[in-house]
Amino acid sequence: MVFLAGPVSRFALVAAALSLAGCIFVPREQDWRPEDAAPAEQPPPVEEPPPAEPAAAAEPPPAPPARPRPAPAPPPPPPPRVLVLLPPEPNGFETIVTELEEQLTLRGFVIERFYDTTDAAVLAGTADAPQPPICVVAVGSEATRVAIERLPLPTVFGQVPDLEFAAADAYGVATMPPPALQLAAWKEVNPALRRVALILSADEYLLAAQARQAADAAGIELALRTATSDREALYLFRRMAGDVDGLWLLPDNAIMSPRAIREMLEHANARGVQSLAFTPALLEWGASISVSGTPQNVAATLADVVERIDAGGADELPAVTPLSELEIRLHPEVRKRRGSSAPDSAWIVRDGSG
Amino acid sequence: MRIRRVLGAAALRCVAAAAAGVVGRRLVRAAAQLRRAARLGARAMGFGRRSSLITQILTLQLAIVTAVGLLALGGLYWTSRTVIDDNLSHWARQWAAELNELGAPFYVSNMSDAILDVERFIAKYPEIRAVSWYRPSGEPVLTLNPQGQPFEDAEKLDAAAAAELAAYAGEESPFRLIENPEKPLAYRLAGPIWTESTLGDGLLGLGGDVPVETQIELLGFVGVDLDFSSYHAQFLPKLWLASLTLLGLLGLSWVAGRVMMKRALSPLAALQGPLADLANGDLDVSFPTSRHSEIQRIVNALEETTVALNERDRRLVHLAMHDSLTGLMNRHSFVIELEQELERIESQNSRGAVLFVDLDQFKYVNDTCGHPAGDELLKLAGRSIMSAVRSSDVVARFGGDEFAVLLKEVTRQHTRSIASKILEQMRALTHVQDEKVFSLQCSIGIAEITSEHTDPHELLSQADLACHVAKSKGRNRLEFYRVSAKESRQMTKDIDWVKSIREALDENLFTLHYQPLVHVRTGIANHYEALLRLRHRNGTLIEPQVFLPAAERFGLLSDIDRWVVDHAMRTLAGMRHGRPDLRFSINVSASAIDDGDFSSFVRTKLKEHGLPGDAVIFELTEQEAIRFALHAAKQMAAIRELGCGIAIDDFGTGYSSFAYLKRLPVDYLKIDGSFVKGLERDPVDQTMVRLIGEVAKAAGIKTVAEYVQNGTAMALLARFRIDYAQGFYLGRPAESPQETSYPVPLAGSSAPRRATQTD
Repeated sequence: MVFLAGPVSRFALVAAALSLAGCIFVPREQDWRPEDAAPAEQPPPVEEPPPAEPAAAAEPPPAPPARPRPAPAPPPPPPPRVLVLLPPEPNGFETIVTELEEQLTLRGFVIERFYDTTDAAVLAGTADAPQPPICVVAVGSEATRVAIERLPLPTVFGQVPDLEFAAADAYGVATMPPPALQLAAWKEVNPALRRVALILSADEYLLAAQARQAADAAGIELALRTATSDREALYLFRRMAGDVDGLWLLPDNAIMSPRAIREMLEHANARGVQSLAFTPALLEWGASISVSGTPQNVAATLADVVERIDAGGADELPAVTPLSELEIRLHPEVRKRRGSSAPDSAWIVRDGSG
Repeated sequence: MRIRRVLGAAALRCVAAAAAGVVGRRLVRAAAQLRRAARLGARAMGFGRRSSLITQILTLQLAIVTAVGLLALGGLYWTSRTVIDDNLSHWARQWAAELNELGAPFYVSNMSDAILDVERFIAKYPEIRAVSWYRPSGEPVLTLNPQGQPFEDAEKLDAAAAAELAAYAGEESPFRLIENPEKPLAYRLAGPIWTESTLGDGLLGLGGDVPVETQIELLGFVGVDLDFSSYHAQFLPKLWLASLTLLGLLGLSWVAGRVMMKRALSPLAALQGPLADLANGDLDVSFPTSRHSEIQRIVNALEETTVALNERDRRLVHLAMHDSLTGLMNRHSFVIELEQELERIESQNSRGAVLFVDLDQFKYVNDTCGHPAGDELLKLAGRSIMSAVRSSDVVARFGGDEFAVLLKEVTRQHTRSIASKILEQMRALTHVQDEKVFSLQCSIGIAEITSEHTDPHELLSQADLACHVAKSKGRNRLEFYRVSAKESRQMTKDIDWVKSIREALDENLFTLHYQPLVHVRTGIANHYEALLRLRHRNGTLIEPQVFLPAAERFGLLSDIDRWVVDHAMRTLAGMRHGRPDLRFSINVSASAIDDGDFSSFVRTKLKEHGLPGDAVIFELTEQEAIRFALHAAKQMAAIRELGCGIAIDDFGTGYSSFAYLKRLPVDYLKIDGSFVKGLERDPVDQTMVRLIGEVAKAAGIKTVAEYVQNGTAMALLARFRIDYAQGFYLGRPAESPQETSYPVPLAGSSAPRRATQTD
């Protein structure tokens, strides 16, 4: 584990927590690039062909003894094609898509971009071409559904809140940073954090298990409840609010609605309960802290999965590849209470285990 | 300040009245004024039979506070109602936010816990009458009342209402508030209960430009019946209680305020007694000090006033009791001393004497050398008498050249000795004025006092009588009063007359008769002389010469003069409406001329009766006019400035000096009747009348002949160019001026003809 930035004293506690999750910190100001990250599965260096002989010389050398002429080298294989399937309105995904295309291009992939609904017919034709793409990268739930249902290609998907699409030939990239990373960051912001409320639907039992494990690792008591609707989630939180000092919001479509989230945040603020949200947009609704993956990390992780598939290592891929970075943002009030003098309230934490 | 002025004026009046010797009515008037000052003082202090100042202030305060309190209560009621109504509506909307909470049984996995929560919620709010749950179809599921008991007869929501409520699902204000038309302040709050899940990647796109797509599932409806009437019902009794409390506090504050104000004003109330004493004439009253500066200032002012009044009282009493010229006692104080001595003599059976000292020929000095010289001589005479008597004796000046001495504890011999000493010392007195040497002599009348004497005036009369006897026996001697039967009767008569005169003044028993003065040449009678009569209790009319000597001796002339002037002017004013040229002649005594206020009195009466000055002519006898020549001239001038005329009555008797005609401001000369009675027979009288007429004509003075008894006299008067004639021949005195015709003498004939007044 390597600490790349930040005062040691300030992050001593979180460093200890993150060390369990194998994280490293990277300041945003350093203009982090995937290349700067710890060495990961880099594609093997492409062996360049030997340099050709010079076409002419001043004095021709003596002719060598005649030998049989080797057969001409086969032409290099065409670069692998990757389909990128996007939602018709990629709201909030633009940065990820841009980063993804840049990453894939740098790694020698040819990208063909499609939109899941409008280009469905073309998409089908492309998939059935003589030289098919090695995989399709779907961003967002709708695009993922179309890719899995319509295309006979391995599907790499990202920005899908629910993991319902995890299938045999589908490889997901986590939407959120690992729970352990989130709690470690929260604990760094609020060392006094002791008991956190988390409400999930019954389907999110895996996430619940990860959250419980992360809470244990962070030394935080997790008050986990299962709800069947947003109303029940709000109902449960209102009754828990007096007993917890934190509300942990995770994107669970089944029990989270914007209205319920807003009311939960209002109630949390009214009760003095700190809240950890999954997107910086919720800071404006009153959330105390937001933790989210960085577009660069999401894009890089997607590109890594594509490369693994291209290299024939699909079988080793997990159903969902976790993110290795998270971005922390603080509500101005929280930042003021912490006495932070940093000009920007955001910073990035990198998982050093990957 | 006003009290002080009134008190001062009252005291002045009182003393002035005493000084003038007219203690009777004036003293009553002064006392009335003093009482008025007391009433003013008491009124100023807020005491007496008038209502209490404290009560008035507190009543006013109570009225204002009550009015304000009622307004405040009305405002409070209106404001409270408005606020309550607004708040109730606001609270209803707040409860709407709780509808989702009330819908928990629809969406909470553990429904029993949810229902318990709802029951607790309902129990917290008494205004919730019932909570009902309905299926999306409108079928009722359950209804709970505040006691947590379900209703079995809950009504179903009709389809339209269910559809309307269902449309609220997902809205910002997902409820409907309906006022119960049958019950004021009762509402029904109803709304849908739904769950909402997020579709697709919506949660990751929060905060983006595209709205998050969600899916709504309607679970049912919740209805809450609210009844706020209990608040209203609770509010009214409390408002009444607040009102009663406020009224109680007002009453309490009124009582407390009354007590406090009484306490605060008690120093003021403490002034009531001393002020009443002051009003009753007690100038030695002391006022209680106060620790309040405002009241202490009043106390200081009252004390200063009392001190000033005391000082003034002392000075005025001294002036009232003493003669200002000689510093000796005056008649009034002498009489008081004499009364006390009489009481003492009566109780101790001792003796004393009253000496009446009259300077001989003093009028000559006064008339020839003037009043200053006379005054100086009077001072010398006073000092001389004082030096001749003992310190225990009392000396007084009665006015003019008359002195009186009260000798205490003396024998007849001792009295004679002291009187002789006075005579001797008086003879030794000389006074030099303008190189003329004047010597003084006096006549002394002595009345011995025994225990049988009780009336001081009687004693004075006896001494005066004895003095006259001494003068009649050659002056410069002393004479003891010897009681003869005739003298005793006269004295008794005088005293009776004094009583009658005082009664007549008090009870208005005097009356006036009017005798015409006819213009000799025209026969017109616009001029009448007012003649005084006293109506005796037996109905007879008494002529003034009968009672005036007694009045003069007892100092009642001034009051009689004023009565005559007032009544004559009143009669004249009444008659001048029909006879605007009518004029009255009014006889006044020397006392009137001697009274410094007489001209002011005349001015006041003229104004009071609305008369011009020239309607009145004042008649003085020649002797009186000349006796007070210098002083009278000023008074006459002051009266003439008012427009009044001055007539010299009985001209031709007494000094009869034509020189006085040049010195006195006279308008008429009334030729004494002794020249007119025998005019037609006596050539001397004819010459006298003619000469007087010529001299008067030359001096611009009109002439009047009295006692005209026949036409021959009238004709002679016309020949002598006498202006007016008066007498029984022309008209007897009557109770009212008679309008009649009078004989006019024919030129050159002794037979007069008759002419009417209109001629």
